[in-house]
Parts: sequence; C-alpha cells; structure tokens
Amino acid sequence: MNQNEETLSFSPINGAHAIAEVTVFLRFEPQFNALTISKLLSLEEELKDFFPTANETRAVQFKITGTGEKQDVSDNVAGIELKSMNQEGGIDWMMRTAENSISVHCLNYSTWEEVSEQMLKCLNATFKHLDGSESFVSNIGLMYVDRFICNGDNDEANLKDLLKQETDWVFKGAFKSVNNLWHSHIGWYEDFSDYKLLNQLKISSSYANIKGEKKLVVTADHNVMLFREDVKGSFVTYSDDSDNSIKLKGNIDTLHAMNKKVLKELLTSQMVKRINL
Amino acid sequence: MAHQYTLDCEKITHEFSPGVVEDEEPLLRLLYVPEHVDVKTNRVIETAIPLVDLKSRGLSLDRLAFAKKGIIQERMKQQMIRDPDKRKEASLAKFCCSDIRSIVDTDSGVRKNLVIDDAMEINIAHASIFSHKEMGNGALRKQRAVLLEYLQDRYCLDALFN
Amino acid sequence: MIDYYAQTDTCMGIKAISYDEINTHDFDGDFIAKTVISTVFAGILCASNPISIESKQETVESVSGDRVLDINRQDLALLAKIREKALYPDNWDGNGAIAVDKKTINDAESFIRDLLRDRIIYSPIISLAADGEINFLWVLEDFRFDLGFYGDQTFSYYGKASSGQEFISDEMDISEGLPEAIVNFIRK
Repeated sequence: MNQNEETLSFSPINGAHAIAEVTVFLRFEPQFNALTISKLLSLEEELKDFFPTANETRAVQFKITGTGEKQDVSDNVAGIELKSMNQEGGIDWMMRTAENSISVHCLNYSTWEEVSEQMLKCLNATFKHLDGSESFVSNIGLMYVDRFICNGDNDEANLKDLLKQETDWVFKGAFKSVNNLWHSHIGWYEDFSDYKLLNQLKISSSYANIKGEKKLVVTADHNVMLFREDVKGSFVTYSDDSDNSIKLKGNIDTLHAMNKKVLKELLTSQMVKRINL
Repeated sequence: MAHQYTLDCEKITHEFSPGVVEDEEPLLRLLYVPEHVDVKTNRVIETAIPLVDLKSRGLSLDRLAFAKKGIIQERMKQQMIRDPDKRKEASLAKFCCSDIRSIVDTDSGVRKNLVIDDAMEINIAHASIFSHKEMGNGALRKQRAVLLEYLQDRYCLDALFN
Repeated sequence: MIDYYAQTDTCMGIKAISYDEINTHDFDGDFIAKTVISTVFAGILCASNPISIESKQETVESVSGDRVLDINRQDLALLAKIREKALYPDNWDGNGAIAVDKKTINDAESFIRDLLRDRIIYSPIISLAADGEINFLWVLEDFRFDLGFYGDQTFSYYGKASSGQEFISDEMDISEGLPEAIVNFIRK
C-alpha cells in the first residue's frame, strides 16, 4: 500500500522533526564540594549573552524526629539554572549545574552539528571552574525525547505506522492495547564503536493537551551513557583544552550515533524517512 | 546520458506506430494533481515537466487521435493521488503539436523541441517531447517555463473520451 | 502453605500479614516459621533492601513537559514539506516516477536552512518532479523563480522578473547560496 503523510496515523510533533528535547549531561564523582558549586555560579555572568535568565537552585535537608519536629535543617546553594527563553516564554535552551552533574538542554532543535556545537561551548565554559576540584567525570550521557502525535482521530491511531512490530525495543502487547495506552521501560548495554554504552529507553503512549486538544502522543525517551570504567585509555576531564574538547565531541557524536541506530531499529522505515533520520 | 534524437527523427515511425506525429495533431499530457498544480492559482507548475524527460527520457504524451481511454485510466489509477476525488479533476493537458514545434530560439531561430513518435505495443498513441539541443539544467528550466504555458488547458478524462 | 493461603483467600506474595496478625489467625508454628523465612527472603528482594540494577541508573530529568514548537514556523513548515516528499514511493505518478533520494532531501534542507538564516522570505511552493528533483518555486507578483536539487550538492535555477530581467544558472554549489540580487526578490 502506498503511504504518504495523509495515510500515516502519526506525525512528528514539531512538524519537521520529533525532537522535544536533547540533553547532554556529565556526571561527577564525588559530588561537587561547596567551593566548586560556588565557582560554577559565575557561569551566570560568563554566559549571560546566551542565557539571559538565571536562578540559583537550593538543597534543603532536614530530619523529622519521632515527635514530628524538624531538626538539623540546612539550606545551601546546590547549583544554578541558566535559561534562554523564546518570544512565547518557552525555554529554548537550559543549562543546569547540580551537586554531581552538569547538563545542557536544547528544546529548539535544528541540526546535530549546530546543537552539539552549542552544547560543547557551554560545557567547555564550565571546565575552568572545576579545575582543582576532587570531582572527576564518571559518565557522559545524551538524552533524546522524541514525540509523535496522532493525526486525526485518536481512536484511529495505528501504532504499526510508527513502530516496527518486529522491533526488539518495545513489547508486543503495545500493539494490542485496546485503548492505545501503554508504556515500556527497558535498559541494556551495547557494544558500539569501540565502547560499551548503556541504553535506557522509555516509550509510552498517553494523552496530552496539545494546543487545547486531547491528542494521543507516543513518547520515546532514550538515554545513552558512556562510563569512565568502560573506556580504555583516558576519559574526558574538566579541561577546556583542544584535546579534551575533541575527545568530548567524539564521545557525544558516538552517543548521538547510538541514538540514531536505536531509533532506526524502533521506527518504521516510513517514519525514519519522514524525520530524515 | 542525453538523447540522440534529431529533427529528422520526427519523420521516422516505429514498429507499432500509426504514423508520424503531424503538426496539427492534438496531444495530451497526463498531469499529477495536486502535486503539479499551484492550489492558489490552479495553474500547472514547472515540476509537471521533469528536466530529465526533456534531456533524455522524453516527456510522455498521448496522441489524442489514437489514445485509448482505458490505457490512460489505468495510469491514473496507479497515481498516488491523496484525495480520491481528485482523480475526477482535470488532469489531462491538451495542446497542439505545432504549438511545441514552433517554439524557437529568439536569437538563432533554431527549434527548441522535438516531438517524436514513440509508439509502444501496449500504447500505440505514445509520443514524446525532447529538447532539441543538449543544454544545462538552468537552460532547460527556461525551456520548460515556455512549455508550461501549453499545459494550462486541462480536461478530465471523460470530457475527452465521451 | 497452599492451604493457609486458600483459607485466607489470598495468593502467594500478595497478602500482607503483620507478625501480630499471624497470632490471631490460629496459624501453627510451622506456618509462622515459613512466613518468617519467606518474609526475610522477600525482604532481600523488596525496596527496603534492593538489589542494585545497574542498567537502571538514574539520569538527568527532562524539562520539555508538554512543550511543542510552532509547526507553522517557516523553517519547520518548509522542512516538513521537504521531508514529506521522502514518503513518495517509486512510481508515485503511475508513469515510472522515481522516489526522491535522501541526498536530494539533504541538499534541499541545507539550502533552505542557509536561506532562512537571519532572513524572512516568501515561502516557495515545494514539489517533486518525476525524475526525483525537489523543486522550490517562487510565484511572486514581479518574479517567477524555479530552483531545484538532484542530490549532487548543487542546484540550478531560472528566474524571470516582470521587467524581463533573467537569472539563470546550470550549477551552483549548495554552500554558495543564492546571489543577493535574487534574494532581494524573494525577501519579505
């Protein structure tokens, strides 16, 4: 059967593409100490041209006694959130530092070349503040959130238009769920391009309010991670020198390629063409 | 690879041919609606004339005098038209062979297009337009802009065959 | 064990009974011993004493919420139209039309991204020809412009203004972009 846009019952949520968010993150061990956290706060000034909005995040800890009283309350700065907003007030880009991670989130995807370049600029800007810290990069990760929206009537959604029935990455019951609602959370390690990568894939079908209309949306949330202990040779460090930048770019390009591989194994050939994967 | 036809080839017939294509013959070009029509103006657009057809494949036509409704209908059925109702729309452009043959280069007076009898066993009415001279894609685009004017007079199948 | 579960109308693993409750159900010592053992065993597997699942390590939280971009935004709308052409199969016109090549899609996308960078232009009509060309056609009051791609990292064009001025190129590299004289016609 010939299939074009009108006969596929799902389309990518952003028209041209399905990427709701792509995030690169670095996790550190041990957690940042108070000095490192305070050094990272200067990113607000350094990156203000790209991230005009900033706010500190705080960590509040306390104990509850047997009598229900709060004890040992501590309220400390945990990190910073930097945002670039669009004209409608939505977030286009966000950068977040927390007690053991740094992440850069893009919610207005264009191309991998452009987005990854910006991500690397943001990460490189953090590195000089980590110099001297006891914390080291324990893993690098990339998270993609892809969403596909049902065209037309929700009841006429056909999951086979979107996902390959023979895919390893979603359970068979998803294609039989009587009300089209289901979810699947899986994780596995895969050898890819000289690395062992951890993949976590959460796929779900649920209703969402899309511009005032209740629409069936299938979301694929794919995390790919590379761990220090799985890399022979040196791992990425907190250095903004060119060698480290090249290494970091190579790593996130590999994670990106893993995401493409998984999506190609998950999505139908028509949908792969539709999003020009 | 460019075609090897010359002006003399317009006088040659093929095994299944009912005769050379005469200047006064009405010719039909099957269009793909709505892809090749500007919805705002309802006019046929440039992609109705593929450059590779002018260069080498031949722009397929049906000679009205010899065309069979069923053969054209079968081609229309296979078209991936999104809206089935569109199949009833005017998707056959009709023009005269002489309209095409009379297009000349304004500087040299040399003819721009050949109309060749291209009869096939399954369709004896088949003919083709080729660009007379080999040229680059920019120049071919200019040529098709002129040819386009002759694809604007459109009919539905029933109007031509009933 | 099965008898006791049948008595309490439960199945294994679901009925939660406190140690105090056990004594009120007249269960014998043998059952109580088995319950303690199974509770200890279950305790090893339950959340209060979990086995660490390495592949389930926590990652970063998404912030996308229900965010949707404006699909009518010019770049997204034009890219979507280009990508829709990839769905046309071979013989889509019933007369031997070829499906568009991925390289052609990529060339068309690269071109339009560059064209829209820092510019607002009139949107072209985007269509597919039977020979695999992706075509951009601008039909404006004072200018008609036909530009197309075949996936060889070049594009060609022909345009004519109402003044009679013509613009023609057989082959331009995608990276070169359009001459400014032409951009001025299609710019809003």
